[in-house]
Amino acid sequence: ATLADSFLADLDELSDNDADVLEEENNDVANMEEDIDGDLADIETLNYDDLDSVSKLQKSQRYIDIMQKVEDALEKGSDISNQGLVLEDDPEYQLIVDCNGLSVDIENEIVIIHNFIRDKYRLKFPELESLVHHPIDYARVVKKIGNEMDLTLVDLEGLLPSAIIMVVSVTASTTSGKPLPEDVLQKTIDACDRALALDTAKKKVLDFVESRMGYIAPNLSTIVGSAVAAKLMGTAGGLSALAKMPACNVQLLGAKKKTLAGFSTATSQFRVGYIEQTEIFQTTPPALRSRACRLLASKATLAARIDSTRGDPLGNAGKTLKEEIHKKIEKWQEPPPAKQPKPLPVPDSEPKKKRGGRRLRKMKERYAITDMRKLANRMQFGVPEESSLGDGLGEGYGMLGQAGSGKLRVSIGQSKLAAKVAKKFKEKNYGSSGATSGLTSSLAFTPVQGIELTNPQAHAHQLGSGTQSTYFSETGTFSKIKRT
Amino acid sequence: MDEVLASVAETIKNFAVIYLVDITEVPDFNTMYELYDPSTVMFFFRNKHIMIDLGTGNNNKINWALKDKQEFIDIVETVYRGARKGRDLVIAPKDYSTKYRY
Repeated sequence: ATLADSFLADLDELSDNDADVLEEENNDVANMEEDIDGDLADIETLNYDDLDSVSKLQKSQRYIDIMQKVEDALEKGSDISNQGLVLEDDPEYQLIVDCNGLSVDIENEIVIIHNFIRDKYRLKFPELESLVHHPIDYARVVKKIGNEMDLTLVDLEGLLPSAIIMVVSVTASTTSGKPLPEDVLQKTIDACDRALALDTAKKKVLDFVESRMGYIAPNLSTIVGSAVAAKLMGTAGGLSALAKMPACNVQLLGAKKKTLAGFSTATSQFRVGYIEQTEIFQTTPPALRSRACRLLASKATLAARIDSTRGDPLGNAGKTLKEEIHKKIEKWQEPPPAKQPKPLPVPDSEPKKKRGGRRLRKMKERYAITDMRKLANRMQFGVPEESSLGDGLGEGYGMLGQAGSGKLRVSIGQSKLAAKVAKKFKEKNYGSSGATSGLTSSLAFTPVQGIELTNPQAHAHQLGSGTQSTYFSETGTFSKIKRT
Repeated sequence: MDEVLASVAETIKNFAVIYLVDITEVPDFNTMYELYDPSTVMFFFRNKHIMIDLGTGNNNKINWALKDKQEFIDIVETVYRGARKGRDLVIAPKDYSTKYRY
């Protein structure tokens, strides 16, 4: 009874577990739905008319602090670093780290504001967002155009390349947008102003970081130059973040999206970012540029890793890496070695590489001598052969069609390969039981003469009797020879 | 012919060596080999004279100047192959029976 009770108790536990699991799942689902609702709510808030709820960075204390410090430091000029201090204790280094984080935040903020402007301006000029990709350029153009419907009155010189200005003007003449109401327009212009202000702030931050670059990351600045090094660090979000990236990612930092509007992509440089602006890259010939970009990115990553661990404060490793890069690029530009005239090899000294295998055998089968030709080549002893023109003239037919050959017509016969395959197939399917299928018969139905009774063994021996040995026959089986 | 021979010498040096003989300086073999043309090329393999069927009727030598380097290399290679097999007469890859085409 106790055993039965324990079994019953187990069953009850199982059912309870099921119920619990179900409840938990329901709870999770409910939570997820709440989360999704929460996210949707967040996304919806971005569509609010109020800019401040979208972009909070400029009002945040952190931003204001760091910008203040940066401006002070820029006014102070370049500071001779204290070599004795450990890097992390130096307050300037902390500021640099903060600046890196801030520049990433500013970029994200700019993207959010760009979305805001785009959503608002979509009523007026929807095609503009696909023509002008860069958020800051978009903000400038929106500010310049304002609520104007006729683009010939707007001067976009200096904001965009002239080809894009042309495309923009043409698209504006056929746009489906309508002028914005005044308050929406005002909000949009405010957002543009804010985006431009953030952009200038980011530039200041980058300038500051660049001026301190030689102190922070000497090896990296030796290779790519301090401006590019500052940009790379800013985009990556810090020196350690840059060091952790693989070199292929470093190559792509700062890569622009491809320009559209029907321009040819043949001249567009593929997959280069800030590395493009380095001096080494600019001085390499265009044919070698993609290789140089990869090389630069990998060596820059190495240098960044050295710098992040402060392994070489004087920058010697950077100098050696730079030398390496120069040497490699020069080596690529060397002409290939001159062609030496080679003397001919001795004829017939190298045996021909004979190939084998199934493919070759099948190819050779096409030109192999058929059974019909073999029969025609041979003659029976003492029996004159028939010939095409009769009386011994013309081609002889040999043993073809002779009486006693047992065949009405000579078939093509199986090739050796087919014979092997057929034998294997037979063994696989019929060899096991030993009983053949009930539908096989020894009667052959020829189309012209009707039924022909053939002895299937005769066909095998016709050619084989004198000339073929049964040792190597493909279709032959074991034979028993009686001792006499 | 001398230019052709000089330019070809390096290329076929693995299986043939070219000797240039001035028959005015070394007249010893003039009657033996009937050397009286401006240029004559004869082939020898292991001290045996190899004949080439060029279609001209004279199988012993090439007694005109060949212009094409590749033609000459082909003839030398044919001679080498045949001589190595033990043949006394080889057939040239190109027929020169109409070499005096007008």
